[in-house]
Amino acid sequence: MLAGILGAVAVPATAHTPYRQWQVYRQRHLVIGASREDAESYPKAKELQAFLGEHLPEASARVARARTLKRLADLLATDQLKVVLLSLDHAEALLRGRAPFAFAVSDLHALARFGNHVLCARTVFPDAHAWILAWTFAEHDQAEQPTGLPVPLHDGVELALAGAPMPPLPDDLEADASEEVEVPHQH
Amino acid sequence: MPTIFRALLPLILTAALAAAFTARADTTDSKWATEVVIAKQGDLCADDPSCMNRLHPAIPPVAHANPGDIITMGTRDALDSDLTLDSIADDMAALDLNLVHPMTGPVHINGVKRGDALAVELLAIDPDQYGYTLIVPGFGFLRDLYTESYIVNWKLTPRGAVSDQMPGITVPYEAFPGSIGVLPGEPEVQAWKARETALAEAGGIALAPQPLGAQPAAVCGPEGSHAADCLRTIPPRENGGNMDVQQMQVGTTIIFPCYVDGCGLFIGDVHYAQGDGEVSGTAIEIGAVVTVRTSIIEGGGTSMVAPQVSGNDEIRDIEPTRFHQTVGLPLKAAGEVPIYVTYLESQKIGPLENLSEDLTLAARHALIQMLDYIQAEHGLTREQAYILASVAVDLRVGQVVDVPNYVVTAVLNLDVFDKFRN
Repeated sequence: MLAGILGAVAVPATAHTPYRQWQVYRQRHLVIGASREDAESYPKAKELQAFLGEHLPEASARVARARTLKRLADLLATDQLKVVLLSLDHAEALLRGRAPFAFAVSDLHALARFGNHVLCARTVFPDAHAWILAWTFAEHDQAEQPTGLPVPLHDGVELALAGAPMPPLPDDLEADASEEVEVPHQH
Repeated sequence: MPTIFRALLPLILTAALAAAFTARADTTDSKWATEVVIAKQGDLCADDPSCMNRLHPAIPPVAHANPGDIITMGTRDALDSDLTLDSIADDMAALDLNLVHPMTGPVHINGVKRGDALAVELLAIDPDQYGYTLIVPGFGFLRDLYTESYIVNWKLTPRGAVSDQMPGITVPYEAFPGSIGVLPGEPEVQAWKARETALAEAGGIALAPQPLGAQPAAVCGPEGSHAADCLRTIPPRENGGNMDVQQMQVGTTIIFPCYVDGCGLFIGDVHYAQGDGEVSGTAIEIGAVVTVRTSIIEGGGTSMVAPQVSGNDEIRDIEPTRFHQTVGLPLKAAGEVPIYVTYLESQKIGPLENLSEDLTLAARHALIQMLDYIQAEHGLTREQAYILASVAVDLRVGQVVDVPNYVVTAVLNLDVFDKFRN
C-alpha cells in the first residue's frame, strides 16, 4: 500500500516556531491551492480533496482558497503552497508571467489534468510525491490524459506514466516514513 | 413702515436669530489641535507607503509630529489579510504568513532622543465593520489539541460584536492596539537577533528575519538595504510591539523607552476584544483608525527595561459583571510532555503527573476545564468554545507561592451571553 508515503511529506515536528508549525501543517497535508477569482477551481479542488481522502488518505488533503490569483501565485512562488489548481489559461499565464500575474513561475509543472484545469507544482515538489499522485489518479481513472497542456509535465509524473518505479523519497523525509512502502503494480 | 414689512417683521427677526444661533452652535470649524493624519492607502501593506511589517532603525519615518499633536493612524488587521464576512476555513491556509504584522508608521516624534521615554496616550479607536477570529493549525496555546482551521466572522459596531457562527453571543467592544511600539536601535537589533538565534538553535521558538514579503521592501525586502537584520513582529520585545495586552484601553497611557532619535512610533493589529491569553492565537482581529497623543519624558528611557502602562478606571470598565471561573493547577497525565517544554528534552517531565511552580501548565489546566464548561453548560461546540475563550476568557495568576501548585484561573465573562443581558 501507499501508506506512509505522502504522510511522509510532513517534516519532523520538531520545529517549535508557531509559523513553522503552520508550515508543517501545510506540509503534513497535501494542501491544494484554489482561488476565488477562478470560481470553478474551488469546487474542483474540494472534489480532489474528497477523492484523495478516499483513495490516498495518507495525503491528508486539504484545500486553501486564496482570494486572488495573484495571492495564489505568491504562495506558490514562496513555497508556502506546493500544489495549485489552475485553469489552463491561468497556468500558461503564470508560466510566462502574463496578466493577471505580476511575475512568472518558470518552473511550473503539471501533475494532472482535470477538464479545463491543471494541477500544478514547482520542481521543488518531490518527484516521488508527483509519482504517487499520478499513479493514484491513473489507478482510479480520476484524471484525463495529460496532453495539450500549456506547462510541462512534472518529472515524477513522466516517470509514473512511463511505468518507471517510484523515485526515492527525499533524504529528509525517508526517516519520517513510518510504514514500509509497497510499490503498486504499474499500468 | 410699509404694512407688508410690518407683517413680516416677526418672521425676519426669527430667521435672523436662528441664523445667528446656528452659526454660534456649529463647532465643526472651531479647531485647537494640530492633527497628523496617516490614512490607509491601498488594499495591502505592500500598496501603502505608510505601512511596514518588519522592525529596523533604518526604516524611514512616514510622518513627523510634535509632542501634543493629535496623531490619527489607519491600521490594518494582524494578518494583512483579504478575509471578508463570507470567508471560510479553507481561506486560512491561503494566508501569506510573511506579511504578518502590518504596522502603520513609524512616526518621528520631534524632539525625542535615544534614552528618552515616549508617553503615548490612547485617545480613540474607531473599528472597521468586520473582524475575524481564527483557530490556526500549529498556532495557539492548545495547538496540539486544535489541529484544523476554523474561522468566525464578526459583524462589529461600537456596541458589540455578533456572528452568525456564534449565536446568542455579543462580545462587548473593548478595543486596544494588539501591537504598539517604537523602533529598536541598531544595538538592540543585534542583541535581540543574537538571543533569538541562540534560542532557535536550542530548539525554542524564534523567527529569523524573512525578507520575502517584508515591508518596506527597500529596507527589509530581498534586495533591501538591511534584509538580514529586519526583525519579525511576532514577539513583543523591550520596544513593545505585539504585546496583546487588553488593559491598554482607550484612556490609558503607554510609556516606551526610545532607542532611536524620533522614537519611531508604530501601531497596528487592533483587537476589537480579547481575553487575557488570546488562547486560540487570535482575538477579534480588525483594522481600525487609532488616535493618540504623545509626550516626551526626557531621559526616562534609561530607567526602563520595557513598556509600562498607566491608567484610571479602564481596567474596571472591562471587568465582567458576572463570571464563571475555573482553577488550574500544574497537573498533567503521566507520560505527557507539554508541547511548550519539548525543546528542553527533559527526561524528568514525561513520567510526572505534577510539575513544580509551572504557571503555563496551570493555565492549560484551567483553560481545558473552562472549554469543557462552556460546551457542557452553554452548548457551544468544541471550536466555538475555543474561539469564545480567546475573546472573552481571562487567564489570571492566582498565586505563585503555594509550592508546587501555583494557580492560574480562567475567568469567563458571562456578559457575552445574550440570555444574561436585557
